[in-house]
Amino acid sequence: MARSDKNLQAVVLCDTYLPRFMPLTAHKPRCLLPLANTPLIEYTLEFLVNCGVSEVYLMCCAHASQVSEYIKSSRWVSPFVPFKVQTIELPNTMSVGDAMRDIDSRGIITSDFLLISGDVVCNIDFDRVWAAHVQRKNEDKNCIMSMVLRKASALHRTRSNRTGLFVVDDITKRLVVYQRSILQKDIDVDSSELLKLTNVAFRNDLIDCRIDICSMDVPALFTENFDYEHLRDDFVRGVLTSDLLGKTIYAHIVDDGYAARVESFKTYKGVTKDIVSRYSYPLVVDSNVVQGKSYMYQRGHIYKERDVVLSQSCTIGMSTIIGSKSSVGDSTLVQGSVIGRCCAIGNNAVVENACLWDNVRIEDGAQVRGAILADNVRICKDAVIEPGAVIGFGVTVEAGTTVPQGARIHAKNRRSSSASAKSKSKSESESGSENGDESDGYGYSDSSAVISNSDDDEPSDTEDLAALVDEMYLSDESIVSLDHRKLAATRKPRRKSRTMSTTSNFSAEDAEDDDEEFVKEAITSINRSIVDKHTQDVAILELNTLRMTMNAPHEKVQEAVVIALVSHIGHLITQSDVKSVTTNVFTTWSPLLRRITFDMVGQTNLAAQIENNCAGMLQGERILAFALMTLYDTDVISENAVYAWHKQPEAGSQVRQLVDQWVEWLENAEEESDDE
Amino acid sequence: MSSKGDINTQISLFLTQLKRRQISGAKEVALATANLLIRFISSRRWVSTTAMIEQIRILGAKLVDAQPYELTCGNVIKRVLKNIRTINEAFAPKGNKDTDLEEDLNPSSSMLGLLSVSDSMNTSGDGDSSNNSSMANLTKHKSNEAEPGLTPSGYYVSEEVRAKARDLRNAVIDEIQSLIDEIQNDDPLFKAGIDMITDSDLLLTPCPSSKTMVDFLLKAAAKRNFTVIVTESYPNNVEKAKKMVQQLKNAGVKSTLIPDAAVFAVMAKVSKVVISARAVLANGGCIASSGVAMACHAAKQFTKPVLSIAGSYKLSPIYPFDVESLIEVGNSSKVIDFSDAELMDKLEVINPLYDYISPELIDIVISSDGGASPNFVYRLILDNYSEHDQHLSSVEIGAA
Repeated sequence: MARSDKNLQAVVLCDTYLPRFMPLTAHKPRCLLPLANTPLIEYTLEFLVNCGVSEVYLMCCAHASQVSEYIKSSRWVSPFVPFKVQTIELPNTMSVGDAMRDIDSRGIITSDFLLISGDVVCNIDFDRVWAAHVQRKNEDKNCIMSMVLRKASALHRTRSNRTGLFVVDDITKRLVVYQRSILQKDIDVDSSELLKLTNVAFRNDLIDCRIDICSMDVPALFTENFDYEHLRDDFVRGVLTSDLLGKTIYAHIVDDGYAARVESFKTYKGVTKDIVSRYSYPLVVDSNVVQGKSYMYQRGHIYKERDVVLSQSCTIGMSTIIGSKSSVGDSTLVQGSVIGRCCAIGNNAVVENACLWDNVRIEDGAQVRGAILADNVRICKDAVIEPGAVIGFGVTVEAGTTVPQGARIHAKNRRSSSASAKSKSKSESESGSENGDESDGYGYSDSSAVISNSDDDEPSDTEDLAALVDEMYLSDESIVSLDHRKLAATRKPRRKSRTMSTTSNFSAEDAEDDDEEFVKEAITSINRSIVDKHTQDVAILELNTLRMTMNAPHEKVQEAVVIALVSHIGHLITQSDVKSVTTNVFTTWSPLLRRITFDMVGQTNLAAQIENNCAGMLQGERILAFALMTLYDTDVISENAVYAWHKQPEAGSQVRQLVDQWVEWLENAEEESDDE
Repeated sequence: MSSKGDINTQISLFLTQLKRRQISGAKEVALATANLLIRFISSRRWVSTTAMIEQIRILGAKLVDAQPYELTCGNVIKRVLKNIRTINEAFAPKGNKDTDLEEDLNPSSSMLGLLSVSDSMNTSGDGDSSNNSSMANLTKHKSNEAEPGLTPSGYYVSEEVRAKARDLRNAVIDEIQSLIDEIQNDDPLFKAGIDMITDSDLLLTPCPSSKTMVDFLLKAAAKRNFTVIVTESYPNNVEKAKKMVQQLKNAGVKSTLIPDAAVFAVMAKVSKVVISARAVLANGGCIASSGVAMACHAAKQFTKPVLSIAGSYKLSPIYPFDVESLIEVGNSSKVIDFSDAELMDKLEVINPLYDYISPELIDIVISSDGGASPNFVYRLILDNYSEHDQHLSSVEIGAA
């Protein structure tokens, strides 16, 4: 192998400069988060051992000192490790681009090197990848990068739905187009580029494992283009779209071996499952590669370390890992979960498909399903944690509370983890009582802990949670089937694929093309306002302009607004309950609705529109009911309009059930006041 | 002590290689273990066999824990321990006479010389015979145990004792060297095996992954004229099965590759089933690659003889109380493709790499010493291992 006589260098990007693992990454760097009870970075370094790397540079930004400490005290500094590890702390970098520019300025790279993310789990045969890269370089002098991509499928549990679309020349494997996140519905491809090629593959089924073999030009290119921030979005796209540069990037698609990357909570769970079910063999839990681990395998993918205490009456289901010194109480069910060291699970509790890190306490009768609980979390008696919840370091969930789906809770006091032990004991002493608003309250109750519905701080993060709902995948699938002529023809990129679920609504009526066009445009405009948080005035102005230019009737404006709002709600309810979301959205947008609703007919029409849109939606009846109530409360719709609408024949099948009750109540209230 | 740092590095390296499965296969692991033991023993100065036994046991426990499924690693260590003990037992009664021992040139005698110099030291480990150990020796033992791995500094060890220590070391290394030769030399094994095969035999082998099996069949083909049926061994060894058939074809052996499901169907015509064991256990049962047990059950049904081929380093003093703990589970993606998202979500896959074959299913165990009935394996094991070394570590599998 050409590699053995060469010095292969590896640059590990320990930080992704994205807040996807918040709130957990507030305390710990992402690469030290435990995956199946082993810090993430261990998997990456294990892979590098198999690659035959001789020098490793760890580029750390957030909590860089923690990474350095960890490496210093780990086995990676011992003399039998085949490579030298060097941590480079870059506290001032803001993006991957900065890190790459730093590499360039240090001049440490001497030849083609391996650029890898610090969260990769992989067991592929790297020699073959390297050989292929060398061959490509011989054939194409301009090749500056080979990306390793694992064939999976569009809906794979280990594939992030943020992974882009790769358009690859099927013969040479040259990457032609890289399209960021497929959530954009249309892709923009220069057809002239494609016509030159005989076979083109549009791949939306790949796992981008961020294992790249780069030439020395790559860091230099980052320095030249000082505005490059992201490796894929900026650099790869930049290189591919640039006519002047003339550099090429190749995709190395592997279809055997395991390769995945832990880049979001969704993939975190997916990769954990894969490791437990031994898809990553020999990188499995019971190989105990990290010192001090003592896992033994038992039939049914159960891994137990030494000194585990299990009650005789507890049930340990398939695919479970239990760390040393943990205990499980009477009649408790543990299934499909990862349990760290020193965890205590009480009696009659349920732990399913959850990840518990170290020192977690789950008291009697509590139920934890599909959640991630960080170190030192305490779940008090009979609390219920619903799927997708993430509970940060040292949080206590009060007895009997329910943490809703997809909630992310972290301790308000983020100062230092050393303080947590003290305050934890404090909150313990007052367990049972409402934790109130103490400054160091670690408890979860609506006031004291901070629940971030991540939608507020980072819009793209919602995809993670929405990914729980299968319908989100609709757009992902459909793109696979599009033929490239059609793709090349559609040049008008739409903002968000979230409107996908609603497109079916208006595509049904194909009569008036212009109005159709208007509705589409209007929806896009409103969505933009929602996402970018424009003020109502801006939104109204935009809508009016649109209406004037396209000469659309008022009904169409209403239609567009309602479609946009209802679909927006549809996305939000995956994280929160219907009532609050619906009320919230309609209250916020009531001024706009008032501006586009003029008379009784308009009001009736508005109600009918909402009904049409709610029909067939998940929880549609509830959305409809709460929407009408809110509009009634905010005086957008008058009582009479409600009655008028209610007299109309029912559109959807069962949507009106809840509303009927409310209308009845309205009528009664009316009569009563009349009587008086 | 530079040499000590060196050997520790080598041990750690070997441990991680075992854990990463970079060293795998019964023979390869056995040889690597033996070579490591030579380096380990030559890196230190030993004053007593007790200390040596103790140290090797500690090392052995670590190695066994690192890869509990590779039984040959433990076997080699236990064999070496037995050798050290045997030397002592054989010569301890004569240990009082210094003089003739000095002149004796065989390795064991230099060991004896050591014994005599250290004043009738009780060299046997762990409760082995001899009861005349003096106080001085006890303290000496203690100093060894207190600082494992460190040679007691020379201030109270005479030059003569040091010379004896060298001899002891050399003696043990010679023993290990001959063990390595034995592991490498499969000829006696093959010779015994070929005696069991006759012309015009129709052999079935469900072990295409075994290199020993390929070598054996090629060797036997030179002397006998037979036909071989190889099972596909899905999912773990399909490639190897194809390769094996190819190799046999190239050597002019008539061979056929059949799917595993066809084993029962062809069994009626088969004259002998030949399997290659990864390990032979104390009860005469075997661990072999998965699919073998099925073939053996079919053979039982048709009362066809089953020959198990295993070099004597594969004899293992472990009794299979907990069979599952001896069987490693391999890569699930061999069964369900990783890109099949839907199946992956809905199914849990368990892909065992090995099978346990109980002794009733095996007719003859062929080792380097010739053929033996499975019932007789316990004798072979008694010959090869000391009862004190049955388990090196507390968590060793099968120890339950």
